[in-house]
Amino acid sequence: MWNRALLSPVLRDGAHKVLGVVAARANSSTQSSTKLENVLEPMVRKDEKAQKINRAMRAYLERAQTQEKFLSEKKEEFELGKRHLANIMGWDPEEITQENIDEAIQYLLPSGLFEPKARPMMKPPEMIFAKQKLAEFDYTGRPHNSLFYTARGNFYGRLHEAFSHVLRLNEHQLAMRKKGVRTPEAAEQFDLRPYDWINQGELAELCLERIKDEHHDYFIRSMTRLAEHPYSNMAREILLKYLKPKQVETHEQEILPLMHDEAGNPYMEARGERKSLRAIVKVTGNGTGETLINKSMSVDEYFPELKDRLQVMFPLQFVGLLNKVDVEATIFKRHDEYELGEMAKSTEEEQKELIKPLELRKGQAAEAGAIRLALSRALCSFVTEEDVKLMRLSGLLTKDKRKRERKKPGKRGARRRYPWRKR
Amino acid sequence: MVAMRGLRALDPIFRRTVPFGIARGVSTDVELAANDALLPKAYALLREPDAFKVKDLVSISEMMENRMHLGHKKTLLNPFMKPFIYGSRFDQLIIDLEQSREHMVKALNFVAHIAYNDGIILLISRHNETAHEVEKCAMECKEFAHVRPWYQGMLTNCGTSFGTEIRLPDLGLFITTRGSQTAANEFAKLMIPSVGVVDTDTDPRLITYPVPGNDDSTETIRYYIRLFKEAILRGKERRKRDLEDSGSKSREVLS
Repeated sequence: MWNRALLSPVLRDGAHKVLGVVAARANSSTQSSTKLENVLEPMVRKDEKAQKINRAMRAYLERAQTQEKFLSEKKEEFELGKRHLANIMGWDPEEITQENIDEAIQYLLPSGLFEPKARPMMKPPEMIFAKQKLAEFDYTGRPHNSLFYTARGNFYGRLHEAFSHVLRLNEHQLAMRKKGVRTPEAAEQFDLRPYDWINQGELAELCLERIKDEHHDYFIRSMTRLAEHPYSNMAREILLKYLKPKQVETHEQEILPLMHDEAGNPYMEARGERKSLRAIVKVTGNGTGETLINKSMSVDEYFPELKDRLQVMFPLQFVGLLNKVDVEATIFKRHDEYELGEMAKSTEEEQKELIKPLELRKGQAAEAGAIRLALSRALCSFVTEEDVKLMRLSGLLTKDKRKRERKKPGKRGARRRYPWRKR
Repeated sequence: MVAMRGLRALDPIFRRTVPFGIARGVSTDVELAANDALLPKAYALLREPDAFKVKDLVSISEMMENRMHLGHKKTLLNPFMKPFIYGSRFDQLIIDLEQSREHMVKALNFVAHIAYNDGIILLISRHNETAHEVEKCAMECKEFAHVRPWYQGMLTNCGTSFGTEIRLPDLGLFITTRGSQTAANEFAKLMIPSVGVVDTDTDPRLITYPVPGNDDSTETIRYYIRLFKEAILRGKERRKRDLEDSGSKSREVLS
């Protein structure tokens, strides 16, 4: 193809290899010829108007154009659909808002799907189709970011920035040592304790790039290194970009002030629930320890089992108010009555159910649990804040969220299988 | 700048190692260069043996001071590096700095020419201690750096790795070649020329312009960074000056 012997001595010098680029171009049409043409002659293009745009940029522009066209088409469809919807619903098509559209869609196409994203929707196209990244290079195809060729330019750019801060802090540390400061004050170091690092998804969102596990790990390691520098408070701003306040779960219980009845005795009412049962408890101060359940009997009579009685009385014992307050509890099976606060809606039979012979009653543990929770909540108003904290820590104010598990097809109950023997 | 077919014809090393046909269908940006007002000037510069005066940049005493001559232990010698060895001292190989100087001048000249023609230069290194400085150098020269792990197919499969069509770099500048063999392979496959510092334990065959020299000491690498940066800046300054003389606008002004 190419005859090396024909090359001039000048060309053999390394510097002139650049020429080869152009030589190849000039001769690409006549590659079969054995003679090398004068490669030092500048190549003259016939079409002077040839575009000065790089292929990559051209591809981007084409893509952007198709995307724009696609979006405008979708937008038109959306506008038309909006008018149709307004006609169906009998609304003014000019004044229909997005809330109206959502409402209409929910009305016309009701969906029982759990995942909201899976339900039918009608939204402006720009909300549904992802935004396209802007061009990262200029019209010659030269990228703007110096780290573009790592394929994660923004991510590594952030790491580069962080490391330049480490260098700056090191310099500062050296200068301080020269001044005679050997051990810097603790306040010079950034306190990481009240913060958490951002997670992988958030980092990816910041960088607009695909961040793998290893990248996130490396990022956190690098940032921790910066944060653990003795003078890291100087780099506070960059650290805070990647930190978020620690999520502290607060169990603040709202404590209502005590109320007083006609006789001047303090009292408080509270509600509690367990499984499908609900209870309302009224605790009256200056009492003698009397209990009344469902306006019919005392705790000892109502709960034949010792464990249930213990459950109910435990909050009183815990705060030391045993035999000092009176307790009045009502148990509800119906939700609407519970909301109302009285058993107005139950039939007589249902009411009888609650006070039928003890041996026949079911769900006593749940009843006791519901009363216990309601009682604990009511007692909060009678005791100090410190006691409330103790009650919370011992679990008295925590709702037991367990519910009956549904029966499954093919199973006798929720999990129990039917007996089966191999034939 | 990328069409390297001619280069392959000119260079015996390149011709030997890169099979024909691999780079077919790779995007080339010759049209940009062709439309460039500076093209006649670029050709004129190529006629000059040392257009950017890079010879003055390199001196053997400075190379020695920066420990460029120190190689690895004898046992680690890559046979292809044999021609560049001066001798050994206490089992440690010493690189022939006379040859290194020659190669370095060639490499710097090539880098400056690429910079003059507005080529994209990608600095590559896997030397961790100086990684930050390499990136900084690239940012200061408005060129590009890759000092991170190189995933295979980064350039050969660029449509996937970048998610879009991109312009490939025009020159791979390997500040250290040892840990970047994958990258060197890709540059060779794509017919993109490369300049690289090769130590006595490194395979120099896929590097278009190998420069034999120590690539482990921090100060040696800093010396390389200084040299290459100067070469790039000289090329760019000359381009800027010539563009002003010819009255056409530079890329920066246009964009």
